[in-house]
Amino acid sequence: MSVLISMFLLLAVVIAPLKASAWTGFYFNGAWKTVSNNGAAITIETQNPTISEDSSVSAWAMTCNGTDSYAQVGWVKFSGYTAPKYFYEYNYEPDGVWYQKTLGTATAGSHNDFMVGCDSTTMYFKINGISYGTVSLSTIPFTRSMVQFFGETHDEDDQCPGSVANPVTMGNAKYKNTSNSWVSATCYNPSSLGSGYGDLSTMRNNISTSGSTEWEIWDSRY
Amino acid sequence: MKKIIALAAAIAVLSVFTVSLAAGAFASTNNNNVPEQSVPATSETTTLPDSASLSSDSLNILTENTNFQNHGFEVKALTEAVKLDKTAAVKKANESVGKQISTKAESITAVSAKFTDTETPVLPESNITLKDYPVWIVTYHGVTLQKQGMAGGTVYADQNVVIDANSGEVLETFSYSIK
Repeated sequence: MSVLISMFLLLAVVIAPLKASAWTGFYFNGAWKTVSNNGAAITIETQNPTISEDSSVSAWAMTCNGTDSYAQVGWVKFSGYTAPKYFYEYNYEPDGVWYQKTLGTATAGSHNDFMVGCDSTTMYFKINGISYGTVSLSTIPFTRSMVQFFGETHDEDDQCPGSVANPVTMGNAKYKNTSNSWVSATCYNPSSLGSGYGDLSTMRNNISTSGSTEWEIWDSRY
Repeated sequence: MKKIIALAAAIAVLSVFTVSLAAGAFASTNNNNVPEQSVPATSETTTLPDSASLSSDSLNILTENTNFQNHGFEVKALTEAVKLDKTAAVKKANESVGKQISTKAESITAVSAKFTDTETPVLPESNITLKDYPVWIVTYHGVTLQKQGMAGGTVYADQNVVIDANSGEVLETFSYSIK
């Protein structure tokens, strides 16, 4: 009997690493502001986080309807990448319109201006003042009621962008108001875990309870 | 005595089997931040235009796709020699997208083409101009992708990986939902 138990223990130990390491969820760390808008912009530091197999980590600026439709721009790293790439993405429901484009390579340590905004007909996606994509508003006609600025992971083992010693800075948060002027966006941390946290206890930030236009995010394990 | 010998033999076989499994699992889960492997075909070998076109899937896969056309992409037949062949291009794309996509795609196509991106003519942090640029476009048809920016969001989509047909560099990717 003891031999059988030993065999089972051996199997348990050996098979444990076989656990699927694909992405398991959606976890956010950052801030948002509820406001009618025509766009969102922020400066985000690029870093090169550790990522679980088949998962991804990103940091971005976004205008959205607060539920299921959005347009965003930032940087993203998929597990197959050796370095992050710039990206933009949009989604519109209920039509099921979704598009994502990744571009070039985003250098770790660089600080880049990400802007997604619209005029009366077109949504544009800019990186450091250069437009890298557009989409007609008739394709994504959602009500722009929020701006959001987050780091995002998809597995609890993913590193939230930033470390204790070197957090990711997110600064100069702005939104384009309905008069089409870019103005400072005082944003708030929505985490249910409370002030200073993202969706996971390891996701940390220093967003003020009275709102911030710039802040840092990091992963307390790194 | 026979029972003990049989049990010992079973444990030995099981141990070899499980150690092999563990080695495989480690190899498959420890690839984070590992530099992408170089593609052998990017060395000094050059694929002749004729053989490149023969190995490429049809350009029509892209030109007849409205999603592809709606995003400012243009492709023409590749008439010049390139260093990367189809096998190497797909391998490079597989490394980029990961196993979750490369092994679960309903189909994979690889088209060699002169590629123009009218929306992104120059890639950020790069001097590469995407106008009639020789590429392989590897498309993963019918895959489930993560959305960024929306909790719980996944999408049924085609993912395209645009690879420099000479250097093997992934220049850009673009993905769109399909019905």
